[in-house]
Amino acid sequence: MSNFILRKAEPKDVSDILRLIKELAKFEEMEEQVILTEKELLEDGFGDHPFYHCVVAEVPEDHHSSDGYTVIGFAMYYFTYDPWIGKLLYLEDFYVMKEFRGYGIGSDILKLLSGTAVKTRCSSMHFIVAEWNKPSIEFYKRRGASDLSDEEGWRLYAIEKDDLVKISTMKR
Amino acid sequence: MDRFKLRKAEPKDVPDILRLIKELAKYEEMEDQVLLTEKDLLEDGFGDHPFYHCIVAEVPSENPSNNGPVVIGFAMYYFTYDPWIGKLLYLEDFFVMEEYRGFGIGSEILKLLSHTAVKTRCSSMHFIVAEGNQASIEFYKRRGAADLSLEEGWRLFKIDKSSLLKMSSGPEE
Repeated sequence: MSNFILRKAEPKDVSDILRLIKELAKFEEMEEQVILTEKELLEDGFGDHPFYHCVVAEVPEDHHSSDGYTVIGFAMYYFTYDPWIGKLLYLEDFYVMKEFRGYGIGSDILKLLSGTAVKTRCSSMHFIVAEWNKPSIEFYKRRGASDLSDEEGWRLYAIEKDDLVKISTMKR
Repeated sequence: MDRFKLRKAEPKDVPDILRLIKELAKYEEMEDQVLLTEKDLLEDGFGDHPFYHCIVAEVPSENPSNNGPVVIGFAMYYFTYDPWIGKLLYLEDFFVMEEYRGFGIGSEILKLLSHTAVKTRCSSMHFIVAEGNQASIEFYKRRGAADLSLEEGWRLFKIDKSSLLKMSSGPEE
């Protein structure tokens, strides 16, 4: 099954992107946590200032998925900034539908993203992986990835909306 | 010491931003790792498509022969995207010069950033903290921060330029 193409996502792909985001979330048993809508994905990704970029993997109509889809994988990324070295490519989501795995589609997506990173003069590609996700960790380590949480002790923190509101309205 | 002002960085602030980036790196004993130049910072932050945003904290100059204010703190941030909830504000660097700490400048910067996040309809503010940095961890936890690495098991990975080059020019699988 070598018959697939990779291309930049277009506005028409937004419903497929949301479908694949939900499939990946379902795999992580978090499907109900996806509150993003097609409207937001459209505004945020295809407006004057895109907050994310997407690459999609597509198969010909006669090779569609068991549930009738031709867009069968995607990667969502954006650019971040390291104050020591400048631009980085941040890989946010990366997913290929189960029945299309094992054909090198994931590898090709990562190859394309690597090319994008080099072309846009990024020093590195960053991404987070859940510590229990052994197959993904192996996939990335085979391609030269190093665990910065391990090597440098970084921990990811979040301040959620209600606390942001609290902080922003706090008296000194 | 309550006479400080916070404002959006301008192109003229680039030398001060680089100076403070190096000071923070020096504090982490990594000063020689700062390869970024003023030219990079100018192009990347003040061109058509800014890759980062900066807030600076300035105080009146103590030097009688210098009339302008002095930049003594900064925060660098940008917007990221969570596929489940949308826009996030990502706090990348945050530093106040040692002699100006303890006056609430850091708190005010974080307050301004929180306001920016809410105003731009971000669901959350994310940032990383080194696990050894107890003082910062406490500062953030006091304001409601949760350790996602602990709660959700996330680990930060990177693929470096040389490996990216290798991958992007490698043979088809």
